[in-house]
Amino acid sequence: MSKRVVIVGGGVGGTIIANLLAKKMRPELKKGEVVIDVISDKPEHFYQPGLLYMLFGLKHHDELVRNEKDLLDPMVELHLHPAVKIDKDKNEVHLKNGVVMKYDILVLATGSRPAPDMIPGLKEGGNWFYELDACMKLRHELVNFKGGKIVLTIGLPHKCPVAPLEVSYMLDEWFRQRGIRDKVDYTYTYPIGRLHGLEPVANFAAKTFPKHGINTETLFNMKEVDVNKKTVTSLEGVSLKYDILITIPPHKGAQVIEDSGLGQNGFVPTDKFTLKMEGSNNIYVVGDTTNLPISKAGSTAHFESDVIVENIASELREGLTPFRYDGKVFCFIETGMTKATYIMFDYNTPPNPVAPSALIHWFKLTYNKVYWLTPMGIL
Amino acid sequence: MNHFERHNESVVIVDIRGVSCCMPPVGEFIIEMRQQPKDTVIELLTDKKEEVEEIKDWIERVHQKTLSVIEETGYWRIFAKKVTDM
Repeated sequence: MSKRVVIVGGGVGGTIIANLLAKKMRPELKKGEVVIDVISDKPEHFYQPGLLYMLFGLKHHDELVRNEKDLLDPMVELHLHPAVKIDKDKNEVHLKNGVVMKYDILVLATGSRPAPDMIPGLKEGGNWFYELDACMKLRHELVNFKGGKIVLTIGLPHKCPVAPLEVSYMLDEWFRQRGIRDKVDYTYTYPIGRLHGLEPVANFAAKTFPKHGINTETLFNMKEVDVNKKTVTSLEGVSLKYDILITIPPHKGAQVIEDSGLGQNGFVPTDKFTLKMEGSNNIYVVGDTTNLPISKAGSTAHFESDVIVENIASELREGLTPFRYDGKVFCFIETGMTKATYIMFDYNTPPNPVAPSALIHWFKLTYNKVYWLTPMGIL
Repeated sequence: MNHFERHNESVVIVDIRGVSCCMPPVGEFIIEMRQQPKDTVIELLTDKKEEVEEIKDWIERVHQKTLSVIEETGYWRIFAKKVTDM
């Protein structure tokens, strides 16, 4: 009787796990002792970090998309039907087409998405670049902008926590290049009492923002947006006027997680070391889907995937799951259009942003081109 | 069973002890306070003493209610109730 590993989600985490596991378990796959299935609701795999560059016309849609089927190992079965229910007591995943898939081991890689409708008026008044259509709308707004007030607001939780910093630095330089920086009043807000969740990054921003003419407002948690008055008001009682409201909306996880009772707002309670769903022995959680208090970033999913694959393989072969995730995350941070820094940290080792350089910026641009090797399990 | 569960109040526990490089406790607290329904009691466990006052200040500022702060050995338990929608 073969063992079936079912992965729900065809984003970076789900695809890496499928491919690395297929490589590692090749002998068992060939003998039919192990079967790997990926369930995805769409045939394309989208490189989300590329949207930051699309916003400035530096990337085109075609550069950011590949067929998921082409990225997956040929021995992995792809099912392009959305999962609508997960029954953890019966070890079943129910697909929209009526198929019920039994699993021995389940990986939840369902990701997260902006949920602007969680804040009254935000969907109508705000602009965000975390989704394709919204990114293109914001691009048009910015290209046609002649000057005025731009306010950037951030909801919690959200993915890619350095992107709000990056877009702020990049907009500053972009407006300078267009000769209208002196006409732009730019305010960056943040929900807690400093400029970023990671203290060293907050200190880096506090040191560099004044040089970029970026105003700041901390302890700003969006309460509502008044589209007619063009104001955004915080729970803390501060109201800011805007001409363009750029926002990182609060995020939600996948609906199937909520509908299956696996986690509020689609985020699954997860053991921070084993990456197993709390209270479960055969469900792993990766990337944005966890409720862990760490960055929801592609690199997080990448490093978590390594641990999950080792544990699944070890469990199938030896009945042991000895590998532990240490909280490792790596993020590039663009500090303008020509320079970048980076941070690397784990649960107990804080990041230390290095001096921005053109070299790191080019490294990031290079990674953007070779990203596809990551979900393929090569890089 | 803790004091609040004995009084039939729903308690959500957020334990972020032992993780020093992430969103600070006040950030995790904001996330939980916003997503839970009214009347939920949130218990935050943190080993960052300096953040306890920051959390209490934020709770007061957004018109929610701190119920108690208990110092345990090497960590703090903050109990707060979501008394109004936000």
